[in-house]
Amino acid sequence: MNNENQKSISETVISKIKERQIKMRPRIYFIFKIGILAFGLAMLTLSAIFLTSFIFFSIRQSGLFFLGNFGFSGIRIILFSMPWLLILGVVALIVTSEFFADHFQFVYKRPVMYSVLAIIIIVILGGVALDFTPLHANLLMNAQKGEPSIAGHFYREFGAPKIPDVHYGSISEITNDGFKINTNRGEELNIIINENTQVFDKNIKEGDSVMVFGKKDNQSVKAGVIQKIDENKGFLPPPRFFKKQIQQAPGALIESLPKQNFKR
Amino acid sequence: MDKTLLQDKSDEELARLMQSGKTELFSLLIERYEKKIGRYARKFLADSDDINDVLQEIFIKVYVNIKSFDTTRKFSSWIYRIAHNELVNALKKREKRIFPIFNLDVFLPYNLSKDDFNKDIQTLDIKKTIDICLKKLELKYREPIILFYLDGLSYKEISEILRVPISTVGIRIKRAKEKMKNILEKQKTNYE
Repeated sequence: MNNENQKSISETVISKIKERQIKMRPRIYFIFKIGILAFGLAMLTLSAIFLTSFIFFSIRQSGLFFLGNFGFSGIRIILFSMPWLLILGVVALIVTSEFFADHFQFVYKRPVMYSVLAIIIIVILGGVALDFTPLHANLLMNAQKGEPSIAGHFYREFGAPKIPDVHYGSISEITNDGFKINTNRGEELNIIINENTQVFDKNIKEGDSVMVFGKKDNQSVKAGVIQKIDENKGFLPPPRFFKKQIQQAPGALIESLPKQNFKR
Repeated sequence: MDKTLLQDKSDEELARLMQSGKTELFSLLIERYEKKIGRYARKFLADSDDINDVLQEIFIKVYVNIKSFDTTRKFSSWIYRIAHNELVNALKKREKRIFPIFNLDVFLPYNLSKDDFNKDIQTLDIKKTIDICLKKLELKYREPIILFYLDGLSYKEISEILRVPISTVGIRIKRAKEKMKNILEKQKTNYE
């Protein structure tokens, strides 16, 4: 570049400054900008944590993980019934969080993989921690009362998903060919047990919470598999619904039924 | 203030004085960086009018945003960062080029040996090679190689300017050299 050009650039910029065509931005502007970025990052991460805990809650409400015991068809149902839309939402929030975080020196100086992993770990741990609180259960309860808010609609839509051919409830009555259950949707279903039914716990009794896998015809279900829901076991606890419904009922239901009816 | 005294002051000190209201010192900073940034810009843009426009825009941005500069850090990295952003914007506008949002070499960690941080012994040869191959190199390889070999910046400074990990700078320079070697070999074959 020749000297004339050098002069002209310097002179042009300086004259613009003198004529006050360009002004320095005050320090507060930059502080505010960083504040907005930090706030945005915090809000995105908190949203991802909330949505993750909601996914855990929703999966538990649906009892999806118990389907693992139902063999290949159970795994197929798990894959199809996972809340993929919500999971996609969490992924989108994590990616956006990374874009926000990338403005900070302590983040962009390290490989992206580290910050993405850190965000994922924070979101999962935060999600698990939030899931221990009664927040989602209370919001779902309010939603089921018919609260017309956005949260109400969201919880009604995603809070207690229904998985096809899977029915949950507590045993209300023993019948000649099986038992009756009361579901959390207020239905009474007649569960029919035959020689092909697989029962994973013979000590099922009245008052127990169960998950039944089988086609529903009117109010009857021909049970393919019956799984007792144990409150103290499993990766995720059983649906909260059952905790409220379970009553200690005497007598073992399964013991009272013919033994040849059950396969293990 | 005495001009000789001011000439002795570091860029960071001048920037600090500007932040406290001595805006007239800006001409000194322009003087110090105009050639360097101009040379850097010429490696990306061909048209001299475009280069002047971009240079002007860079120094205006420096003045407008000077209060965001952290005087405990290097001024050169900061001004080159502004230049980098302006040049990328200029390439997007003028050449309608699309830059990838994501690069795998920023995502993964890399291990670099001590040798990777040293400049080649035959720096002069490298400079000639860069001039021959530059236009055939992707921007992500072109920038670190210019900053390292032609502008003499360190890996740390380049990582600040490009906002990528130091290991990514190392890997890009390494790959740029490999690519330049291939380009030269191809040219040699064509001549033969």
